[in-house]
Amino acid sequence: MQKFKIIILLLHIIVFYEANCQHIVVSGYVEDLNSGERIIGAYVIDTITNSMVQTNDYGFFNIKISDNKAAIMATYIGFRSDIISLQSGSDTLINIQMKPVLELNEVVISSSPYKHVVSSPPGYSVIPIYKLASIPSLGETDLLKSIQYQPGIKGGMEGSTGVFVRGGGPGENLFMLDDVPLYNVSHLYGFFSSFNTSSIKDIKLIKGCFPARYGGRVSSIIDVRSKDGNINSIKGEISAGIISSGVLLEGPLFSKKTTFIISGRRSYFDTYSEALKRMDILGDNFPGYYFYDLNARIAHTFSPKDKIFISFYTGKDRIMNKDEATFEKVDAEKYSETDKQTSGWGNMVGSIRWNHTSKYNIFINTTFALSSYNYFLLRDHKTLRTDTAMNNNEINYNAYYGSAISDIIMKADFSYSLNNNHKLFAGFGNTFHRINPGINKYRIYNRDYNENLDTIYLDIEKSYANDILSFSEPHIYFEDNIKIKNKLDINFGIRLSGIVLSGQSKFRVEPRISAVYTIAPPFALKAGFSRMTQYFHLLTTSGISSPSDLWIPALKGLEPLRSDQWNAGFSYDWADKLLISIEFYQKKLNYTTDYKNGASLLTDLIPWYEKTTQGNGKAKGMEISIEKQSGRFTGAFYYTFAKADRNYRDLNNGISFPFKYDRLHDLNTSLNIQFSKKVDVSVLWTFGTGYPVTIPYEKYFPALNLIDNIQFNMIYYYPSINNYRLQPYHRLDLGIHYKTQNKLGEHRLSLDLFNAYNHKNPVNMYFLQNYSFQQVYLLPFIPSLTYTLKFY
Amino acid sequence: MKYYKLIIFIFFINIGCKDSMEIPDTGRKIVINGLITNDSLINVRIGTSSYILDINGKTLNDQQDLKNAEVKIFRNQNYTDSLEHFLYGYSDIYDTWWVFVPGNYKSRQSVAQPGSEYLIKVKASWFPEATAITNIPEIVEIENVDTFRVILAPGEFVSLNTGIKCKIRFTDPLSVTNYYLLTVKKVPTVSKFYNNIEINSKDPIVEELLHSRYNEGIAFSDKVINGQTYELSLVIRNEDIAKVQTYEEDYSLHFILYSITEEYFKFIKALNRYSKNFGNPLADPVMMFSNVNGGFGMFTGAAVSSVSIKYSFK
Repeated sequence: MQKFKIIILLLHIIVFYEANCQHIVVSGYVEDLNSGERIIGAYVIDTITNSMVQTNDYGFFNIKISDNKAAIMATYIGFRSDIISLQSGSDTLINIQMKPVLELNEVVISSSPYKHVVSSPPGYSVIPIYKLASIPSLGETDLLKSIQYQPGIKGGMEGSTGVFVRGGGPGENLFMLDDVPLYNVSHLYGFFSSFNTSSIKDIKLIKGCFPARYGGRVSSIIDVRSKDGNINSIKGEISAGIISSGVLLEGPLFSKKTTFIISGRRSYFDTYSEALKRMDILGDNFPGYYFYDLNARIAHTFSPKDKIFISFYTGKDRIMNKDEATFEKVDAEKYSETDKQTSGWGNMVGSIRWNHTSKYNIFINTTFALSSYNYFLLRDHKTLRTDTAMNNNEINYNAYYGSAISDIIMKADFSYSLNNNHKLFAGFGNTFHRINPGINKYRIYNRDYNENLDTIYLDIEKSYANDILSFSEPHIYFEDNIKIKNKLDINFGIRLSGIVLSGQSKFRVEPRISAVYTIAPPFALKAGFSRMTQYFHLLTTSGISSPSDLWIPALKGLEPLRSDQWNAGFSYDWADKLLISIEFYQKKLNYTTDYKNGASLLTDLIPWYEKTTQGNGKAKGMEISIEKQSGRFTGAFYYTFAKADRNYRDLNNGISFPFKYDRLHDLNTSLNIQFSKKVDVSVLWTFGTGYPVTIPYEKYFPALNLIDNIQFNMIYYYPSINNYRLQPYHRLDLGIHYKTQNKLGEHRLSLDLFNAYNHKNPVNMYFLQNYSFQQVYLLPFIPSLTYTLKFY
Repeated sequence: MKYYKLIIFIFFINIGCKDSMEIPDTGRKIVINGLITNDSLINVRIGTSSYILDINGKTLNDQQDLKNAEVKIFRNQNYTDSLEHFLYGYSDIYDTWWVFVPGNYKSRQSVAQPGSEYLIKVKASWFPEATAITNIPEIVEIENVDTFRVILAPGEFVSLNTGIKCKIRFTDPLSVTNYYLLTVKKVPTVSKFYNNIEINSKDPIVEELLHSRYNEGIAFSDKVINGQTYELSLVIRNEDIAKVQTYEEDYSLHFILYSITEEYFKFIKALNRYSKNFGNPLADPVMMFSNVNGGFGMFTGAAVSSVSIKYSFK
């Protein structure tokens, strides 16, 4: 509370000073005319003075006019607004409504669509949501897979939703859903993301030059904002694909002041497998699997200055397996055995946020949220032996492994425009973490019984648990964004964060700075530096995003992960047709954490901090991006030249080795052709250097027992970690989309052809008994059909 | 459960076709395996590595063993001995004369001295020279062994059973970092055909449990007991040491405490992890630890202390 008062006081001092400058403030929200959704990142321009500001994450803007007259308009890719003329002697509150211009015959963009994007900070991307549906997909549109095509980002194993940013690991990305971090963002071991694209309004990707308002992870921020719900009428969407089906409903609730949106999705692998089991195509012991997720949100506008959002998200995965066997002999004993295994994992997030604009035009967002993630693995094993005299002996074995993390998040963020070229951000908050880094329990229960007797002669329960840790992660930041003579745009800030636990507290200072210098309107030079600190490490055992990957805190002797990243580059708007950007980066990671040589989650019953080792990482690269975002032909060319490695004292004899997802060349090209209002075709071609894998070059007999000098099995000699490159990866995806409308609503049918020319892309190698290596390929040519109905 | 991910892959995707791959051939190297101790003549085994795709590397007799290698031993940087190759000899394990697989090199007179540094140099035809250095740690004596019968709890061994709890007392030297390997052997009183006994221990100082047909024991360091007198607890199964038939000869249990080098300790840990991860397609491969320059293997030393207990368990 003390911090809150200090920040309010400081801001009010600044505001008071600024008030003497006699500005008239025009503030408000930019909205989509059709849905009432507030638009994030739209530019609001006073056409008289050519002053320009951008809407914040809640669609709010605040522009100052120097005399009583203003002609305000808003621009955003795919939207346009009318010019609103104002004549006022006092501060004014307006809502600007923008109309989508996506229809083919309405693509009338008078100025360059890249005019403002050219000057965005380095490492900063906004993924247009309306483009997601036109990207060819594997079964269904996926937010994270669309992010993988961005320069500087690797997708990990083929088909998965892994995100590896500029040489960073999988646990170094902050996935935020409406300001609340999520710990696991994938279903089905990483093949589908937890984000249901139909309920998403905006995605922001930051991979370098992080503003001070962001923190907690070192490699990227993926800021996802949900829709608020249609303000005008009840609308919905039903989609059916080969993997899952989903439904969405949105609209006003009682009045236009309150809106709701609810969406859900469920897979049907378990339905497939049950049907195949009944047809005897699959055995009875084949596992069943399903996932689902549910998003719900209510937004209520109390007044033009106050709005509250209540959001809820839950996503779960379950995998079940049951194995039964009975052995019976005539006139002999009967023996039956049942083995059931279940594992599950999921996130749950609930949040309440309040947007308030003070009388001094300070925008305040206050968030209270609960977030949790848990994973469990359960096994029930039962044997029953019945002899000829009907005496029964029953042995039960139950085993359980579980880990969990739960957070209570409280934070407040403030923003204030001193003038149209000078904006301040500040905030503070605290996250209370409660983490269970793994517990193993088992129970053995042995019982003899018959008609007359029931004896339990063994009932043993044991557990091995890591200590549950409760600690907090506070932060406070200040950020200043200033534009000098419409040429130089500087963002600098500082963030102080820490991890607080009695006797083990650590605090770190994170300076951030970035600058964009516009030489001429279509050309901008960019540079920046940012230091990020992360107080959680993600321990992974394989290349697959696994729900059992363990989050561990930077406690018990582990240091927080830190990254220092330098960026430089330029953007060029070529004749209003193409946006060309080149960026260079160099990143140094300190205290990366990994399992010690050969250690893993379940095989060693020792505390997590004894299984881990800390090291360093380096990454550098160049990213080239050429985009065409408007017209009948749109497309992108993204190329990344990059190198990333790791160094651990305890691994690879202390010698640096390539990072698991190091890829020297990475190329993604896409093209979308709008043939008519109804039909469009998308083509995506991707190419990349093969990922490194660890394979043996030689083998020899070790002394399995040096004392008796016994040599039995040969072991493989791995010269170093990740010593061999898989063959290059390339793939062509095609998508044909048909859209039509009738009384029911808008129908959309998508035919996607994944890996159209069926290239065998290796994901791993293994050594065979016949003394040869073979590469493993996962995804061949896969066609998929998805139908979506948007009804109104 | 660890294979569920694979099952899911297969269910959802199908594993595609596979192609054979070309793997770089980086040449062959000498392999030295030897533990030299204060209670036996210096004895090492010399072999060679094989190309990973080489089918001929599959058995010890098939590999190109070095029968005419020059194997020299230096003690504290002074030449001490040259080891001789032999195919026939007395086997302690089998308690008889034995035909060994090729590659055994033995000294006729040298026994490793605790506190000394030993260097081995191996030269042979076209192979690059391989060298390794080790120290023989000082002996740490077993001061006492107590045993008593217990009912084993589940988790201590796979099956429910009765067993023997053993407490082994020793004093760790204060001034140096020590590493230990403890084994238990079942040795007949007449013949010498011994068995390594499976040991289990939940003692907090134990860092590695070795469980395989060829290697049983527990390994630990003195990081939490430095300079202290300590009683190490372990359990062994009754069925492993009891007589099966009444006419069997009596046995004794040999508790052997090896004071080992740091590199041998690392080797044990790496080998243990290698075995655990072997065959798991999702586990990262384990890099084997070696202290041989220009080759592979482990040449190391240990100082041995042992206590025998005669018993007649049924």
